[in-house]
Amino acid sequence: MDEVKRPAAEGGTGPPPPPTAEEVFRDYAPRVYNLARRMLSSDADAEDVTQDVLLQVVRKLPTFRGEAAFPTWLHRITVNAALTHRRKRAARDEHLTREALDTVLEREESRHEPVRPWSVAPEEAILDRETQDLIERAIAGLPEPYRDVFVLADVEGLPNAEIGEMLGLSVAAVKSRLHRARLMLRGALAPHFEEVSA
Amino acid sequence: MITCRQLVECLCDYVDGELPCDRCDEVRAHLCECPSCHAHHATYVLVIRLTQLLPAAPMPPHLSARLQAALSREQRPPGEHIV
Repeated sequence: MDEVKRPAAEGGTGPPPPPTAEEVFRDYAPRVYNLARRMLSSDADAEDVTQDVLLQVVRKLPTFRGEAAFPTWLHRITVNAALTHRRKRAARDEHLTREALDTVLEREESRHEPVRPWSVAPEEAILDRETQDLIERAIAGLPEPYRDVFVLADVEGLPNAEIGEMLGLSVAAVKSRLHRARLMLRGALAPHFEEVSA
Repeated sequence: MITCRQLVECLCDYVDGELPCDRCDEVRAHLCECPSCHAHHATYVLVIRLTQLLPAAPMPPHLSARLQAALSREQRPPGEHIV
Protein backbone atom coordinates (compact mmCIF):
# COMPACT_ATOMS: atom_id res chain seq x y z
CA MET A 1 0.00 0.00 0.00
CA ASP A 2 1.21 3.45 -0.83
CA GLU A 3 2.27 5.56 2.06
CA VAL A 4 -0.52 7.84 3.18
CA LYS A 5 0.02 11.40 2.00
CA ARG A 6 -0.39 13.78 4.89
CA PRO A 7 -1.40 17.37 4.24
CA ALA A 8 1.44 19.80 4.68
CA ALA A 9 1.30 21.65 7.96
CA GLU A 10 0.55 25.24 7.10
CA GLY A 11 0.22 26.63 10.55
CA GLY A 12 -3.49 27.28 10.07
CA THR A 13 -6.41 26.24 12.21
CA GLY A 14 -7.59 23.39 9.98
CA PRO A 15 -8.13 19.86 11.22
CA PRO A 16 -5.00 17.93 12.19
CA PRO A 17 -3.72 15.49 9.58
CA PRO A 18 -4.94 11.91 9.91
CA PRO A 19 -2.57 9.39 11.45
CA THR A 20 -0.43 7.10 9.34
CA ALA A 21 -1.28 3.42 8.97
CA GLU A 22 1.36 2.54 11.54
CA GLU A 23 -0.04 5.10 13.97
CA VAL A 24 -3.56 3.76 13.48
CA PHE A 25 -2.44 0.25 14.41
CA ARG A 26 -0.20 1.35 17.26
CA ASP A 27 -2.27 4.11 18.88
CA TYR A 28 -5.88 3.24 18.17
CA ALA A 29 -6.00 -0.55 18.38
CA PRO A 30 -6.61 -0.61 22.18
CA ARG A 31 -9.49 1.84 21.85
CA VAL A 32 -11.12 -0.16 19.06
CA TYR A 33 -10.55 -3.44 20.91
CA ASN A 34 -12.12 -2.17 24.14
CA LEU A 35 -15.20 -0.74 22.46
CA ALA A 36 -15.73 -3.90 20.40
CA ARG A 37 -15.14 -6.10 23.45
CA ARG A 38 -17.78 -4.33 25.48
CA MET A 39 -20.31 -4.23 22.66
CA LEU A 40 -19.82 -7.89 21.75
CA SER A 41 -19.03 -9.33 25.21
CA SER A 42 -16.54 -11.66 23.59
CA ASP A 43 -12.76 -11.42 23.45
CA ALA A 44 -12.51 -13.53 20.29
CA ASP A 45 -15.18 -11.54 18.44
CA ALA A 46 -13.57 -8.29 19.57
CA GLU A 47 -10.22 -9.43 18.17
CA ASP A 48 -11.78 -10.19 14.77
CA VAL A 49 -13.57 -6.85 14.72
CA THR A 50 -10.45 -4.96 15.77
CA GLN A 51 -8.47 -6.36 12.86
CA ASP A 52 -11.34 -5.73 10.45
CA VAL A 53 -11.77 -2.13 11.63
CA LEU A 54 -8.09 -1.23 11.52
CA LEU A 55 -7.73 -2.62 8.00
CA GLN A 56 -10.86 -0.76 6.90
CA VAL A 57 -9.53 2.46 8.39
CA VAL A 58 -6.12 2.10 6.78
CA ARG A 59 -7.72 1.44 3.37
CA LYS A 60 -9.98 4.48 3.76
CA LEU A 61 -7.32 6.83 5.15
CA PRO A 62 -6.57 8.40 1.75
CA THR A 63 -10.22 9.45 1.49
CA PHE A 64 -10.49 10.77 5.05
CA ARG A 65 -11.15 14.47 4.65
CA GLY A 66 -11.36 15.46 8.27
CA GLU A 67 -14.99 16.64 8.27
CA ALA A 68 -15.30 14.69 11.49
CA ALA A 69 -12.56 14.27 14.08
CA PHE A 70 -10.56 11.12 13.47
CA PRO A 71 -11.67 9.43 16.75
CA THR A 72 -15.33 10.10 15.84
CA TRP A 73 -14.79 8.53 12.43
CA LEU A 74 -13.08 5.57 14.07
CA HIS A 75 -15.98 5.16 16.53
CA ARG A 76 -18.47 5.03 13.68
CA ILE A 77 -16.53 2.40 11.80
CA THR A 78 -16.07 0.33 14.96
CA VAL A 79 -19.74 0.49 15.91
CA ASN A 80 -20.81 -0.47 12.38
CA ALA A 81 -18.33 -3.34 12.30
CA ALA A 82 -19.47 -4.61 15.69
CA LEU A 83 -23.13 -4.48 14.67
CA THR A 84 -22.39 -6.25 11.38
CA HIS A 85 -20.36 -8.89 13.20
CA ARG A 86 -23.19 -9.43 15.63
CA ARG A 87 -25.75 -9.80 12.86
CA LYS A 88 -23.60 -12.46 11.23
CA ARG A 89 -23.20 -14.20 14.53
CA ALA A 90 -26.99 -14.00 14.97
CA ALA A 91 -28.66 -14.06 18.31
CA ARG A 92 -26.80 -17.13 19.46
CA ASP A 93 -26.89 -16.23 23.12
CA GLU A 94 -29.48 -14.10 24.76
CA HIS A 95 -28.10 -12.90 28.09
CA LEU A 96 -31.43 -12.22 29.68
CA THR A 97 -34.76 -13.62 28.63
CA ARG A 98 -37.49 -11.13 27.87
CA GLU A 99 -39.27 -12.26 30.99
CA ALA A 100 -36.21 -11.72 33.17
CA LEU A 101 -35.67 -8.26 31.70
CA ASP A 102 -39.27 -7.27 32.32
CA THR A 103 -38.94 -8.44 35.90
CA VAL A 104 -35.80 -6.38 36.47
CA LEU A 105 -37.31 -3.26 34.94
CA GLU A 106 -40.59 -3.65 36.77
CA ARG A 107 -38.71 -3.97 40.04
CA GLU A 108 -36.51 -0.97 39.30
CA GLU A 109 -39.22 1.27 37.91
CA SER A 110 -41.95 0.59 40.42
CA ARG A 111 -39.80 -0.07 43.48
CA HIS A 112 -42.12 -1.62 45.99
CA GLU A 113 -39.31 -2.05 48.50
CA PRO A 114 -37.16 0.69 50.04
CA VAL A 115 -33.78 1.21 48.41
CA ARG A 116 -30.73 0.90 50.63
CA PRO A 117 -27.53 2.92 50.17
CA TRP A 118 -24.43 1.18 48.83
CA SER A 119 -21.28 0.60 50.78
CA VAL A 120 -19.00 1.15 47.78
CA ALA A 121 -17.21 4.40 47.06
CA PRO A 122 -15.74 5.24 43.64
CA GLU A 123 -12.35 5.96 45.13
CA GLU A 124 -12.23 2.42 46.52
CA ALA A 125 -13.65 0.79 43.44
CA ILE A 126 -10.88 1.90 41.13
CA LEU A 127 -8.41 -0.08 43.23
CA ASP A 128 -10.58 -3.11 43.58
CA ARG A 129 -10.21 -5.69 40.81
CA GLU A 130 -13.11 -7.74 42.07
CA THR A 131 -15.44 -4.76 41.77
CA GLN A 132 -14.20 -4.03 38.26
CA ASP A 133 -14.94 -7.61 37.20
CA LEU A 134 -18.36 -7.41 38.80
CA ILE A 135 -19.28 -4.28 36.85
CA GLU A 136 -17.86 -5.65 33.58
CA ARG A 137 -19.94 -8.81 34.01
CA ALA A 138 -23.03 -6.74 34.75
CA ILE A 139 -22.49 -4.70 31.58
CA ALA A 140 -21.92 -7.87 29.57
CA GLY A 141 -25.19 -9.21 30.97
CA LEU A 142 -27.25 -6.33 29.56
CA PRO A 143 -29.38 -7.19 26.53
CA GLU A 144 -27.59 -5.99 23.39
CA PRO A 145 -29.80 -3.01 22.44
CA TYR A 146 -29.37 -1.58 25.93
CA ARG A 147 -25.71 -2.48 26.21
CA ASP A 148 -24.85 -0.72 22.94
CA VAL A 149 -26.36 2.55 24.11
CA PHE A 150 -24.93 2.27 27.61
CA VAL A 151 -21.40 1.53 26.39
CA LEU A 152 -21.43 4.36 23.87
CA ALA A 153 -22.96 6.88 26.30
CA ASP A 154 -21.57 6.11 29.74
CA VAL A 155 -18.35 4.27 28.92
CA GLU A 156 -17.29 6.06 25.72
CA GLY A 157 -18.93 9.36 26.65
CA LEU A 158 -20.54 10.04 23.26
CA PRO A 159 -23.45 12.52 22.97
CA ASN A 160 -26.93 11.03 22.62
CA ALA A 161 -27.45 12.59 19.18
CA GLU A 162 -24.28 10.96 17.86
CA ILE A 163 -25.28 7.59 19.31
CA GLY A 164 -28.69 7.94 17.67
CA GLU A 165 -27.05 8.53 14.29
CA MET A 166 -24.76 5.52 14.71
CA LEU A 167 -27.50 3.15 15.78
CA GLY A 168 -30.36 4.55 13.69
CA LEU A 169 -32.35 5.65 16.74
CA SER A 170 -34.09 8.87 17.74
CA VAL A 171 -32.57 10.79 20.65
CA ALA A 172 -35.67 9.94 22.70
CA ALA A 173 -35.09 6.23 22.05
CA VAL A 174 -31.43 6.56 23.00
CA LYS A 175 -32.35 8.23 26.29
CA SER A 176 -35.00 5.65 27.04
CA ARG A 177 -32.59 2.77 26.46
CA LEU A 178 -29.85 4.49 28.43
CA HIS A 179 -32.15 5.00 31.40
CA ARG A 180 -33.30 1.40 31.34
CA ALA A 181 -29.75 0.14 30.99
CA ARG A 182 -28.69 2.15 34.03
CA LEU A 183 -31.67 0.84 35.99
CA MET A 184 -30.85 -2.73 35.01
CA LEU A 185 -27.21 -2.28 36.03
CA ARG A 186 -28.25 -0.69 39.29
CA GLY A 187 -30.52 -3.64 39.94
CA ALA A 188 -27.82 -6.15 39.03
CA LEU A 189 -25.18 -4.51 41.23
CA ALA A 190 -27.38 -3.67 44.22
CA PRO A 191 -27.22 -7.12 45.85
CA HIS A 192 -23.42 -6.88 45.86
CA PHE A 193 -23.08 -3.31 47.10
CA GLU A 194 -26.03 -2.64 49.41
CA GLU A 195 -25.19 -1.83 52.97
CA VAL A 196 -26.19 -4.51 55.41
CA SER A 197 -28.98 -3.43 57.72
CA ALA A 198 -28.03 -3.00 61.36
CA MET B 1 -45.11 16.62 44.99
CA ILE B 2 -44.04 14.03 42.44
CA THR B 3 -44.38 10.35 43.25
CA CYS B 4 -41.54 7.87 43.64
CA ARG B 5 -42.39 6.32 40.29
CA GLN B 6 -42.38 9.71 38.56
CA LEU B 7 -39.01 10.43 40.10
CA VAL B 8 -37.53 7.24 38.70
CA GLU B 9 -38.96 8.03 35.27
CA CYS B 10 -37.24 11.40 35.08
CA LEU B 11 -34.00 10.35 36.78
CA CYS B 12 -32.07 10.07 33.50
CA ASP B 13 -32.93 13.61 32.42
CA TYR B 14 -32.27 14.93 35.92
CA VAL B 15 -28.86 13.32 36.21
CA ASP B 16 -27.87 14.34 32.69
CA GLY B 17 -28.92 17.96 33.31
CA GLU B 18 -31.73 17.86 30.76
CA LEU B 19 -34.72 18.34 33.06
CA PRO B 20 -36.56 21.72 33.09
CA CYS B 21 -35.79 23.88 36.14
CA ASP B 22 -39.23 23.65 37.72
CA ARG B 23 -39.17 19.88 37.44
CA CYS B 24 -35.67 19.80 38.97
CA ASP B 25 -37.02 21.67 41.99
CA GLU B 26 -39.70 19.02 42.39
CA VAL B 27 -37.12 16.26 42.15
CA ARG B 28 -34.85 17.91 44.71
CA ALA B 29 -37.76 18.43 47.11
CA HIS B 30 -38.74 14.77 46.77
CA LEU B 31 -35.15 13.58 47.30
CA CYS B 32 -34.94 15.60 50.53
CA GLU B 33 -38.02 13.96 51.94
CA CYS B 34 -37.77 10.38 50.65
CA PRO B 35 -34.80 8.33 51.93
CA SER B 36 -35.50 5.50 49.52
CA CYS B 37 -35.49 7.76 46.45
CA HIS B 38 -32.45 9.54 47.85
CA ALA B 39 -30.64 6.19 47.93
CA HIS B 40 -31.97 5.27 44.50
CA HIS B 41 -30.68 8.52 43.02
CA ALA B 42 -27.31 8.17 44.74
CA THR B 43 -26.81 4.61 43.54
CA TYR B 44 -28.01 5.45 40.00
CA VAL B 45 -25.33 8.15 39.85
CA LEU B 46 -22.82 5.75 41.37
CA VAL B 47 -23.43 3.23 38.59
CA ILE B 48 -22.48 5.87 36.03
CA ARG B 49 -19.45 6.98 38.02
CA LEU B 50 -18.18 3.45 38.60
CA THR B 51 -18.52 2.69 34.91
CA GLN B 52 -16.46 5.72 34.01
CA LEU B 53 -13.72 4.48 36.33
CA LEU B 54 -13.39 1.11 34.62
CA PRO B 55 -9.90 0.75 33.18
CA ALA B 56 -9.39 -0.26 29.58
CA ALA B 57 -8.63 -3.93 29.09
CA PRO B 58 -5.06 -4.54 27.96
CA MET B 59 -4.60 -5.81 24.42
CA PRO B 60 -3.76 -9.52 24.45
CA PRO B 61 -0.16 -10.03 23.23
CA HIS B 62 -1.28 -12.47 20.53
CA LEU B 63 -3.64 -9.82 19.15
CA SER B 64 -0.85 -7.28 18.86
CA ALA B 65 1.20 -9.81 16.89
CA ARG B 66 -1.80 -10.70 14.72
CA LEU B 67 -2.46 -7.03 13.93
CA GLN B 68 1.16 -6.40 13.10
CA ALA B 69 1.08 -9.33 10.66
CA ALA B 70 -2.15 -8.03 9.11
CA LEU B 71 -0.63 -4.58 8.62
CA SER B 72 2.48 -6.08 7.02
CA ARG B 73 0.31 -8.07 4.59
CA GLU B 74 -1.72 -4.96 3.82
CA GLN B 75 1.36 -2.92 3.03
CA ARG B 76 2.98 -5.56 0.83
CA PRO B 77 3.19 -4.34 -2.78
CA PRO B 78 0.62 -5.93 -5.12
CA GLY B 79 1.86 -9.10 -6.76
CA GLU B 80 4.36 -9.90 -4.05
CA HIS B 81 3.81 -13.37 -2.67
CA ILE B 82 5.45 -15.25 0.11
CA VAL B 83 6.97 -18.47 -1.23
